Amino acid sequence: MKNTLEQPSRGVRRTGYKKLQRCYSLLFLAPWAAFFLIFKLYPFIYGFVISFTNYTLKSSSFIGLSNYKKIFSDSAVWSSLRATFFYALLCVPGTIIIALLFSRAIFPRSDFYNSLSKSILYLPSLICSVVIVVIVKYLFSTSIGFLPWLCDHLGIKVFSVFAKASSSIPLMSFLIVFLGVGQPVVLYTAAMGGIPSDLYDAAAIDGATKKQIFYRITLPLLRPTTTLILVTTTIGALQIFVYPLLFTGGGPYYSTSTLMLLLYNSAFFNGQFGYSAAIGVVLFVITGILAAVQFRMTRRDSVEY
Amino acid sequence: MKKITALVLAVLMALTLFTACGATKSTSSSSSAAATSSSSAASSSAASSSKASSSAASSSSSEAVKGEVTVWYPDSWQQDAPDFVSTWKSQIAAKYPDVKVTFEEYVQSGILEKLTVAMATGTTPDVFYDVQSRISAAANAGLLADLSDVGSELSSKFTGSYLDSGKYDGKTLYLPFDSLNCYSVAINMDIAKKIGADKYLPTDSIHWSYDDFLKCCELAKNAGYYGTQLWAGGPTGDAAMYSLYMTAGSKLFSDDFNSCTINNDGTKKALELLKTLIDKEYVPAGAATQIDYNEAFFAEKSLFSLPQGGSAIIISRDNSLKKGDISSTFNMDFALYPTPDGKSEPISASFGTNGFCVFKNSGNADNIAASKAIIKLLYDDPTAMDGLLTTTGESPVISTASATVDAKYTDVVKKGYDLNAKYSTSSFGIQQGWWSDWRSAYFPVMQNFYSGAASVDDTLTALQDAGNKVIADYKAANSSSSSKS
Repeated sequence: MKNTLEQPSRGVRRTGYKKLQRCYSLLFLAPWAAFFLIFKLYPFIYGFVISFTNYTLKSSSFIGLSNYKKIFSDSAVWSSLRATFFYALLCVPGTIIIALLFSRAIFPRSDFYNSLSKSILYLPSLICSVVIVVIVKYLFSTSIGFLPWLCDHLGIKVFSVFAKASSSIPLMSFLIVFLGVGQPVVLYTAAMGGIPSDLYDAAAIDGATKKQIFYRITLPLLRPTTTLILVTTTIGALQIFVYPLLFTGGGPYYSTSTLMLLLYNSAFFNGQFGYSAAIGVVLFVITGILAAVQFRMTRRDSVEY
Repeated sequence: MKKITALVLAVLMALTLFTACGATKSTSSSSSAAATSSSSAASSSAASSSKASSSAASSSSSEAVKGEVTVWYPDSWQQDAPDFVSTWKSQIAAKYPDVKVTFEEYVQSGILEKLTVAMATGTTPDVFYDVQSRISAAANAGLLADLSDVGSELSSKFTGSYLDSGKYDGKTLYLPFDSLNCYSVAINMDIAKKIGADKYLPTDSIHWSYDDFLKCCELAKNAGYYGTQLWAGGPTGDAAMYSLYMTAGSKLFSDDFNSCTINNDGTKKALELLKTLIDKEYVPAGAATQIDYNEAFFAEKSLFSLPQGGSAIIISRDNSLKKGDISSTFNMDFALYPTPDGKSEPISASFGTNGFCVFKNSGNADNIAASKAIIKLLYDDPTAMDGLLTTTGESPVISTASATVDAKYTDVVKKGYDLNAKYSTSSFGIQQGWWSDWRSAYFPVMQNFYSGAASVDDTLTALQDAGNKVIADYKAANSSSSSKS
């Protein structure tokens, strides 16, 4: 005989349990949600609103699209935009290619070698970038630096690496890639560990070379990781700030400045918070478009194996 | 048990998010102290409860003065006048025991951003000490309390027109404290004597020509040194360039400061001198992005350093030596900037004075009265002021102050005072509300010039256009001001 008492209590327990689970999950999400709302979403919306005002220390009034019109007619913005893309063009592929090369070299080795290599590669990202800047600046300083002194003694004409964008941006990009390659290597090696070894065995049986295996099997299967690294590195490259600030101040004439640095100077040196907010909105739009394009371009059917 | 633990942890995490919210004045003083190094002489109770508001009228009598005051002072005091804060604290404690003062040291190189953020977010201190040009932005934004009453009480003490220099629209918003030496050229006398450049230096420290200056630079280069160092990487030390332009006969702005007039023969001659320095490699390469203008000089690789403050640099260098911050012990002297013909009278920029201002903040009458009272103490009893002047070499602004400098500095300090009195000017625009914007526009133009991307004539045009744009934008932004939302 059916126990009519059991089924209703089981149903009630399930419903109650699900509600409790939902409560717990909301409670655990609450800190992050509060942080996001207060420190991310609200400032974003507020920044968007003040981008339509001439918000200064003295006054604030609605000026419509004037800040945006000023942006598109400001030569400093265009110089900074060019420099920003220059940084991105060097940093993004540089990071991906170097991370892939490192991962390919260290993954097949023993676990100990793997862990040691990853730790060593990750260490630079733990060093404060200001420390790196100070050291490199003194190394390359034309008045007291070791490298110019060495060049002078070797009869090589001394020039300032930081005097032109064509030399300072590649140097800064190299430092950015060098300091940031650790995390992509960790991601790539983890992703490589997830590829079944059967595929490699099958390829080896079919006579594939190591190069073919890497380019035909490993690389395609690393696409999701590559997409992630591509998007995050691009976002990071578009927001470069510390290096141009400390190395060159963004000069000469904004040729090494980034939009982020221009945003900072407009706000904290010139007190033009409205204009600065407008630059921030433009940077957000550019970053969003690029990220969307990258996701679209790298989207493929998932590979099942 | 696990669920309860997880629940408690989640709630605690949520609560920690809100611990920094609702910052009171004293709390924000503590958080700004985290960004600057607090003086070891800072008074206690920096994190006390919010200040009590009072509608009572301010009073200067010691019995009525009470409140909580935050003072921001520069890190240079710790180097050049380490006893200044402790002396001032003692004076405050003796006369105003009910006033709680928190002293916070700020790093001078980063004060512009710090102050701008503080003004924008309403976290300014009560009392702020700095050079007048940075205070002008706050004055023009209406953030400063009226110090006319204090100014009136102290007016008989001030010499010259120092007190008047702190007036904005007829109100005293700034009280000068010490007068900065005018900018000058620092000279490494050891190198000068070694290479034979000393015979081209001005015997009176005043009159020498561009040819003399270039000859010294040439001798320096031939001996493996640099003549001097140029810089345009960051918005500092530009007063040296303005001095060079004005000394060559230039006028930067019109008398009413309504237009920029920098495109003239005087500036042209000065820019041609700078171009010669670069073309003949008398300066290290990379001037366009060079930020530190003292690098080569204190490394004893350069004969001259352009943006130095007279006798103050000599005393400051010795202070740094005593502290062990630097190790260069060469003999130093200074002279005013060369003129094209060597006969004209130089004009040297001075950023005027360092001094105090009081921020209105929430308008707490007690705190404003307390701020005024503790500032006035320094003028009524100039013991602390004397100490600061003695150790920095700056000039006094009141007749009752006097610096008792070390005997070895007597001559050089006297020289600084005399040159300051005769040849310095601070009427070149530093009090204007757009001065900070002008500096931001000036440096990128000079970067183009130093990198060779712009000729002398192009640079003159660009400077004048930039100056006029800054003035026009400032006027447009301030012509229809509404209250901040």
